[in-house]
Amino acid sequence: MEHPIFFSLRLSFQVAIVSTCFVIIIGICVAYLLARRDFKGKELVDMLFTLPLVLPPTVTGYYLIILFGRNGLIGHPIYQWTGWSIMFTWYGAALASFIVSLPLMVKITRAAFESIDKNLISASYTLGHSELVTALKVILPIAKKGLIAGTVLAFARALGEFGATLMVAGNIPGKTNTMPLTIYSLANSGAWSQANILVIFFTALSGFFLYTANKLSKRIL
Amino acid sequence: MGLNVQLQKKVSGFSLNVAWDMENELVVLFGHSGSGKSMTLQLIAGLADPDEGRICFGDKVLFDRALGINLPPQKRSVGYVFQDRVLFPHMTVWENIGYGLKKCPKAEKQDRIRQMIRLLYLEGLENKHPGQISGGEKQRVTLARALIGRPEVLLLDEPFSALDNPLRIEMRELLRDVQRQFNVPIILVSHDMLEAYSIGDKIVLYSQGKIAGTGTPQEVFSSPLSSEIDLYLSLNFPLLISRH
Repeated sequence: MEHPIFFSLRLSFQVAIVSTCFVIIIGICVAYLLARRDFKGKELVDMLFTLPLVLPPTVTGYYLIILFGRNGLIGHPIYQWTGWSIMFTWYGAALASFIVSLPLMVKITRAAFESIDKNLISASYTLGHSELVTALKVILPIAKKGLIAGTVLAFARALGEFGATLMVAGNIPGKTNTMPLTIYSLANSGAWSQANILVIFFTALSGFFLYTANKLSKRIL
Repeated sequence: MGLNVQLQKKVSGFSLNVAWDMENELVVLFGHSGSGKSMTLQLIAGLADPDEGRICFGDKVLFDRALGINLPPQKRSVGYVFQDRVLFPHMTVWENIGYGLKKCPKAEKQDRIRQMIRLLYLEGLENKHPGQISGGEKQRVTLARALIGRPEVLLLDEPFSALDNPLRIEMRELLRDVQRQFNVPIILVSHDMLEAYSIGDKIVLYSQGKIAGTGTPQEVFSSPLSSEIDLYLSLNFPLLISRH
């Protein structure tokens, strides 16, 4: 039997890694559209993807319940069809982390894309390369530092996600209790020594992530 | 094969309305900054769309508003050299040049890159990044990259404006060589009179989005085609008054 603290540590990383994989894919696509395309309602889309950054995580979590709960707009048909619900599973924790950390990736990546000299992109087009090839061979490599900074920050944010996770996945010991939730439970039950270790570990880890992201993109942070 | 250009475009307070054509020669679009020269290049390359007009290269129609034809830049076979020596910063000189060549067997690609490196005197710089080479070298790499795909027309937007004088003269000669070797029509945008005079087979004089005159450099600068051109040149380039 795994030690409860190691379990929550492993679960936290599992949730953060899965969430960050999706954040990278979706974040790059959304940031690309916002940076390179003009369409109606663009600023509204930008606002929608930024909202989780400023909303209390519990409010974000509340929206996720409305959408993905067993009686939710998306959750209900899924539950009826498969008998499965994302609520109170580690997938729910990953979903909450994804939604909360996505804005960081979108903001930083969009800034990185927008700072690229437009003539470089035009040059690629006049050399006969399609938009996709240009994105893969010119835009992404040049924006690499911004992408890594966004990823590191999104990962750190996902690892530390608490409020929305609590709303969507709950705090079920041995199932959905990620590290921040465990720290909350330990502090609640007066287990200070254990909480101290986790808090120090978390602070050091987050400091390292911030330092890395800062080094990669001094301009953005 | 000639290029025929008829363009109309309005953008915030500026209106471009020009029509001219060229054969296999070196045409200089000459005029002040903001007279619509660079915009013309962008419209020819397909980087922006004209409101009205037609661009065709021999039988190949690149753009025709009336027929609803508008080829994307990728399909126009146009070599474009930008004003500020735009090279891909993450690629070496070799990779930058190679990027101009699509769908080409590896051996042939290497041969052609090597050939361009030799023609534009870039030996020894193959593995350097753009940040490690001089302004003149960068411009030669840009030329190599634009030419390696054998475009049907080469567009240059004030390519030598950031270079110092001796280098400029060298680059002009190089451009002449390039034209001879590749047998490609060249359109060069410039506001440098000496450059226009010394390099152009033909000058298209731009003034506030319109054409003030066309002709050989001698025709335009030495014996004005009309009093309008004369007035324009005297007003804008007072040094020319001495020719009277």
